This record gives sequence, C-alpha cells and structure tokens, in this order.
Amino acid sequence: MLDLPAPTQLAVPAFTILILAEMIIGWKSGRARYEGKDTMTSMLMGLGSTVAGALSAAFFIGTSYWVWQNFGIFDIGTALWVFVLAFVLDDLAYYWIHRMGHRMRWMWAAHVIHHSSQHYNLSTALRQTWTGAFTPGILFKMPIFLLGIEPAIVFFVAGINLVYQFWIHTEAIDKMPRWFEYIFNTPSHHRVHHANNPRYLDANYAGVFMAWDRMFGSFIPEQKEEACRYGLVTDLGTFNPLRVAVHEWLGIFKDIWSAKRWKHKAMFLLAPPGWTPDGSRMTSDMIRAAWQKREAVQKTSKSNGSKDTVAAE
Amino acid sequence: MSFMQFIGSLIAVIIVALIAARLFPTKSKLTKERVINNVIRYCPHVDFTSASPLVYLSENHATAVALFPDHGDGYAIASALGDRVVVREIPDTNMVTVTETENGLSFDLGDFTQPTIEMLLSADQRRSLISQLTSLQSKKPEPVHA
Repeated sequence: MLDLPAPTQLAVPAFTILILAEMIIGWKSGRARYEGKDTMTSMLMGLGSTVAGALSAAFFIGTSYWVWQNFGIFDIGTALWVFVLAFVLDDLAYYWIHRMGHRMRWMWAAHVIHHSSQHYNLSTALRQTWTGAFTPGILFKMPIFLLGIEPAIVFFVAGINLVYQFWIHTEAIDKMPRWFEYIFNTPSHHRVHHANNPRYLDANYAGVFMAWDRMFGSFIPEQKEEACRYGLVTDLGTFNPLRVAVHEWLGIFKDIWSAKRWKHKAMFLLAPPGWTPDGSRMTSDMIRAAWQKREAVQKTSKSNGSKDTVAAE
Repeated sequence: MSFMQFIGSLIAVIIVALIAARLFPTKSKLTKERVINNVIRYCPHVDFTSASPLVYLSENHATAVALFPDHGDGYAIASALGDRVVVREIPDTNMVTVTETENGLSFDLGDFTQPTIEMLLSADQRRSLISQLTSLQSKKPEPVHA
C-alpha cells in the first residue's frame, strides 16, 4: 500500500490561521461576519468529523483495496499523470456524490450538517458530517478503483480536493478573474451553492472544476441584484452539535416508521429532501416552482400596471 | 488522532470561538420590523399585501409571535439564534403545545431542531396573545364526516 500523507490533517494549522485572519479582516472591514456559538458549532462539527472519519477509515480503506486488487481492470501504476487523472476523476465522483447529497434524502441526512449554518465564513468549511460512513457515497468512487487506480492515490487527491474547497467558504472575496471563475470553483460560485434563496437552490455542486456543473446543467451564477442568504430552507433553532449531527436521520426514521406503504418507506430514503406522499412538505423543486410562479405573477401585474398607467395618461 | 491531539484541538476550537465572540459580539435583538421581514421572507405563500403580521414581541426581544393578516393560515414564531433569526411557521395550532408560565408563555413545537421557545410577556400581553391564539383555534374548520 502506497504511503501518502493526509492533506487535510497537514492543513489544519493553516485552516486555523486563515480563520483567524478572516475574522480580523471581517472585524476591520465588515466583509466577513462571525458569531461565537456558530463558530464553536462549526469547528466542533469539524473535530467530530475527523474522529468519525478515523473510526470508519479501516472499513473504507479495506473495501477500496479489496475492489482494486480483485477487480481492477488495468495496472495503471503510480506515475505523476496517474495522480492528475485520479484528481480529475475523483473530482467528477465528488460532483455526483455532492449532487446526490442534495437530491437523495439518505445522503442529505449526512450532508445537511455542512449547510446548517446561517453564516458563510471559513469556519463553515469545517462544519462537516459525522455520519458520512452511513451513506452509499463511496460507491461513486468504485469506478476509479475498477479502472485500476490505487485507492491510496484516490484518498490523497480527495484530500487535496477538500483542502482546495476550504478557501471558497468566504464572503471576503467577491470575484476572481474571469478565466478563473470559468474554470474553477470560487467563493462566488460556492456562495450560490450555500444560499437558500429559491433562485439558487440545488446548484453549483462542483468540488474544484466548474466544468461538471456546466456539463450537467447545474450551474447558476451569483446575481448582484440578489444577495445570497445562507442556511437551510428550514433553519435549525439550535447550536447543539449532537442535534445538528443527527436531526435529519431522526426525521427519516420517524417518517419511515409512520409510512404505511413499503414504497413510501423507500421514497423517504431515496427521494429528494422534503418529499412526502401527500405533498404536504416542499422539495427544492417545489420551492423553486412556487417562486417562479410568484415571480411571473409579479411581472405580469407590473406590466399590466404600466400599461394601465400609459392608458390613463 | 490521539487523545492528546483531540484535547489540543478542542482547546483550539474553544479559543477561536471565544475570539469570534469577542470580535463579533451579538448585539442585535429582535425588533418588530426584523420579525416582519423574516416572516414575510419565510412564508412567501402568505399574502401580506393587505396588512403586515401582528407581532407580539417578548420583553427580552428574544422571541416573537407573528399572527398572519386576518388570522388566516396560522401564525409564525420567530426566535433569535445568535445574531440570526429562526422562523417556524405554524399552519395548524395543534402542532404546538402552548403553556402558560410564570412570566409568559412557552411553545413546545415537538421539533428536534427547535428547543422549547420561552416568551417573556407582561400579564396584559400574555392575556391578549392567548386570546388571539384561542380565536385562531376556534376558527379552524370542523372536520367533515361523511
């Protein structure tokens, strides 16, 4: 087994320094905003995520190596180009894991944690799940192991991907140069991803390369006329890390328990968050559709109003 | 991660959070205007064009109840969480257990992500709000039996 460092662990001191730097910049300029309890929750979620990751690492490493050794199609080796290929393929896998993390309630139960803050700053980047091991996310990486890339390389580049994503959790940076905005995930693109405005829901899932969002139709640019509001569609009323970590799992269990039909039980796990058999709650698609309807009505009434004004004149 | 690394990280987390609390003290409390803005944003399906919601603000400005215009479609409860606001829409009065307390009212939403909301109210305000909530309950249509 290839012995590679864990980029996220190495980056922890830099994360802490950058959070303090953003705090000071925000304090002086007002371009970033923190709140003590929110910061505490975000960072405790990050610490808990590291512990949970360490506990589940043996299972994931074991499974990945078993697949690679027994079913790997090619023997690709460990040249530099393999690392580059692994980075691109892992980023593609990340895109789909992330997209399913928003579109399948089972995976949302783990990922919701990352979106549960109403703040958007570098500490939000550390607000990570404790329960990712209970989702089928690893399945999206299996094709990379089947291709013949050694799992240690995939875990290493996935670590670099996560380190990259740290700096984009900020309001202190407005826009990067146009070419950079086009190719890479940036603070602007990721603010949209964290926004709960109906216009911005379920967009910009990319890790590093925005090409995936452009290719699969999930790219939405940040609009100057509509500032991002952060958090969940229904925000949490607590900073308690345990409640933050498990609330959606509890919701799923309750819904499955009370569902009468097996199909509904399965849908509570596999359908998008907010799905119910009777439509009594709203999915992000329903929220966006309702918003579009309201916008259309407003536009119509505005244009009718202006016509009336013209007629009156 | 060793135990000592964990303890070291925990201490670092606490220090960073304390610095955040020091640099960004939470001054903002709920005001009627803030409650109205958040309720309108959170309940876009409720028509607020004819009138704004009627707001009962707790004496410590930490929580509020906003009754929708004409008492249609239930009400909303807003609470301050740090420097932000959390709103819960209550379309059905049965969703909440409202209890009179010594200094006001408490709202138990039976929601894992929303601890019980305590409202500090004067005796007059409490009476008035209870009467409004009771009238909401009585306005609910009777179930129709075939």
